[in-house]
Amino acid sequence: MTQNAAQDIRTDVDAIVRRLRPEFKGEIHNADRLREDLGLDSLNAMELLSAITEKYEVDVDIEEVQDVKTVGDVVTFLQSVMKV
Amino acid sequence: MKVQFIYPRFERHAQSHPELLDAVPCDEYLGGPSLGIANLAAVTPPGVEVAFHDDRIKPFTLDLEADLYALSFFTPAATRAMEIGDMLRAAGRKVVAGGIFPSMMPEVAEPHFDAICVGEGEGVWPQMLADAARGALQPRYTPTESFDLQNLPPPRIDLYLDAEDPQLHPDDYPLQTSRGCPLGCDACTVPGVMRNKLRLIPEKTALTALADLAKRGKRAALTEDTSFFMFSGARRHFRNFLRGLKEDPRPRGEKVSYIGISMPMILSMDPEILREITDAGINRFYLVCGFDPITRKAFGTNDPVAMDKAVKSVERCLDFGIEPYTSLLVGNETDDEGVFDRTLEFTHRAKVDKTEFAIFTPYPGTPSWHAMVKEDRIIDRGWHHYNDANVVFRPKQMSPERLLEGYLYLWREFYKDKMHLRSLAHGDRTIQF
Repeated sequence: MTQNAAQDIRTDVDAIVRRLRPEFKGEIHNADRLREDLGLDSLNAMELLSAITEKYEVDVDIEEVQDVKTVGDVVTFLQSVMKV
Repeated sequence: MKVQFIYPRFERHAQSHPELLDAVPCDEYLGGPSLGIANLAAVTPPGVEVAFHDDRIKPFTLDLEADLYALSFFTPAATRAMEIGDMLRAAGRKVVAGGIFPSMMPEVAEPHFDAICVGEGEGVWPQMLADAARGALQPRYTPTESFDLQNLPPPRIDLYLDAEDPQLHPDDYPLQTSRGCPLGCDACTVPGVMRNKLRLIPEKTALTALADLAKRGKRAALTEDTSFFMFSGARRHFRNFLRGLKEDPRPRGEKVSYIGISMPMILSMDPEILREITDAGINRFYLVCGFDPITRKAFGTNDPVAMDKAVKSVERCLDFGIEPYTSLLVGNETDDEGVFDRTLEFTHRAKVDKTEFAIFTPYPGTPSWHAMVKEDRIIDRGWHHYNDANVVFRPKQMSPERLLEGYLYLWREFYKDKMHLRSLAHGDRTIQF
């Protein structure tokens, strides 16, 4: 995964988080936890993963995303399944 | 060889409580049979004659001759199905069964049939037929793996359509776009019967099934919550299906009667998908409440934030030109006696003009069922009472009698000032009860 590609994923993740939590106005960091720091509930977190994996045309199963807790985890996970 | 398929009857809300017919100024929605029989008929080998009987239209009798009888049923129909099984066996006829109830309660179903299928039927059906033909049926058939949906032909809905009569001629029939689910929701039987991997029915198969319905002037009914998740590429698959549906020239609302969905899904869904749903010609959501965190908190624990979200879900549907038809359920573990008034408060705030009410039912095979059996809270194993209109368990925060009373109160109270609905067109005054 190139630096640019990782940045693209981050930009998309940020946009989806802001769509799901329009009231969240702060900066989003890689270390932010989806639930505790960004306030996404379980279904919002699922929606984030659904939207981002759809965008990058990646098919995943629920077991594969159990350990995804932070914004950085989402980017790393996508990098790993895309293997680029 | 002739196979006689039978879809056994079950009790509806208004049959459990006839007083609802006076209190509710609406027409009863009478849906088509579930897809189990139509799917099995589609994989029946050539040379085997098939016939279909809907026991809801005319009670089954032994006058219908066949070499093998096959029933597919869910829990509400189990009492009648086992009665039919007993009747056939007493007459020396061979009868097999499958579907949700035999899959979830094989020990209960087994004594009433010569053989049962536990799980998806398509994979074992040819073997069952071959064994029946040589008089060597095994007591139980359990597929070792999930059926490959690439090999699933479109369902033989024509069998259902040919069986329609003036008493029962549904406007829509179910259409399946996937099977299985990785989520373990407490009230759901899907992972138990269809396993926990989401598998997709090829878009071409689903669109062919849709076209088969269109040819006979019927709409499709979709239950699609899982299609909006990422599992197995389900969302992409469903959006492709929507694109195919958009090509269908029928007017909006005439192709699909509804999509079954929940409030959290509506709130979190990308607006682009909602637009695609509208563009595809879908104008109604069947908004199932009581199983998701928003409605459980809003109605059950009096959470004002959740109540706002519930109202917002309805408004969001309307913003996209989609009718949010709600199904409101009471009797959850978190529901105290205030749930009835809070549910009515929601209908007022969201300006709901018609709705249906249901009682939580721990269907066999669901996590709720297992939990309640363990806690010795199941008080009724009369399966015909498992229809969302009876209390079959001991609720956590009120008596069973109070829950039933509250459910009937909801119907009466909600509809008492809505008698004007009687003058609406059939389609606009039809609800499920």
